[in-house]
Amino acid sequence: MNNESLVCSIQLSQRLKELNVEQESLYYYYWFKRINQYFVYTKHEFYNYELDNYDNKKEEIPCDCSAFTIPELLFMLPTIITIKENEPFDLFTLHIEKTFLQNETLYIVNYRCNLPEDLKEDTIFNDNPLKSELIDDVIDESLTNALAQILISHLEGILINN
Amino acid sequence: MNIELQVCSLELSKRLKELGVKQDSLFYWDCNEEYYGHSSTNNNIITYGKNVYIPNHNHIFYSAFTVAELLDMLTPIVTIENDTPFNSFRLRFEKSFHVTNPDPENLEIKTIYIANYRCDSTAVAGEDAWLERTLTSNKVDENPANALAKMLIYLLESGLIK
Repeated sequence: MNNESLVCSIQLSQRLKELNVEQESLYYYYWFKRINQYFVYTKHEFYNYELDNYDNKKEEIPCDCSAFTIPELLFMLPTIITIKENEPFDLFTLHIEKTFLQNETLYIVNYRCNLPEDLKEDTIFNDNPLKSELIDDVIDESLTNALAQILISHLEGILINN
Repeated sequence: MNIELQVCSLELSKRLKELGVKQDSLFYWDCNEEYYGHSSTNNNIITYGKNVYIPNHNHIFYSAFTVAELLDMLTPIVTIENDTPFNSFRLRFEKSFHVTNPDPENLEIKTIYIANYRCDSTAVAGEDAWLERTLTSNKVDENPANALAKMLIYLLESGLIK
């Protein structure tokens, strides 16, 4: 498993930065202008890279943004989201499922009502059943990207306004 | 976020190694009792790769698996031999909470992570109707990597994966 597979994509990372998420993380995206490509390094790794390439260094390599890992994103996501209706079915927590489709692993992420479905008497027969999930499921091959998408939705106010 | 919160604990790492899990990871617990000795309560450090910071001493490395690495090793579906059609279970990972102070005016909660496999079929009649079946007891920890490591240990000890 390489560094890139541990962190969310550059696009999602940049969006999180735009949304003022504190740029404090284990890994960061560095922009290598000469080869037009981003690489993911820890600060320590990047420092070693710079030392190794000191003589050939012809360009400034800026750190673009934080490249968040799963634990970092989990830490930033709220433990509980409460909506202002349908008490006691108003409390939602983060659920992650690992599944597959045609041999491809997928992660399904959402905030789900933390009371069991079977307590919701009207769930099946009511035309307007109580809400079980806050938003449509976020599905991605990368759990890091799925969590980043959920965090972006939360920061944009989509989770609570839905 | 400390690196200790991004990887599984030394105790769980040791157990995973005992169970034959391939020691191939980004981070390692570097146990060097000879050097760190008895004078320190923090005898072990986490290294990126098998870097030896203190040469000429015996180093014992244990893979300190990240959440992404543990999720990669956990199979999305576990099927047991008995109880058809209630024998197929899917991996679910939750960010949840437990109440540490139930006083409504000073309510305090602690964030926890829960790993388990949940049955993908439900009885429509009988005493188990609509109840969600799980493969085992919830594997719970404040560190997400530890919750997943406990689940992986359970699967290996039970022979449900090899």
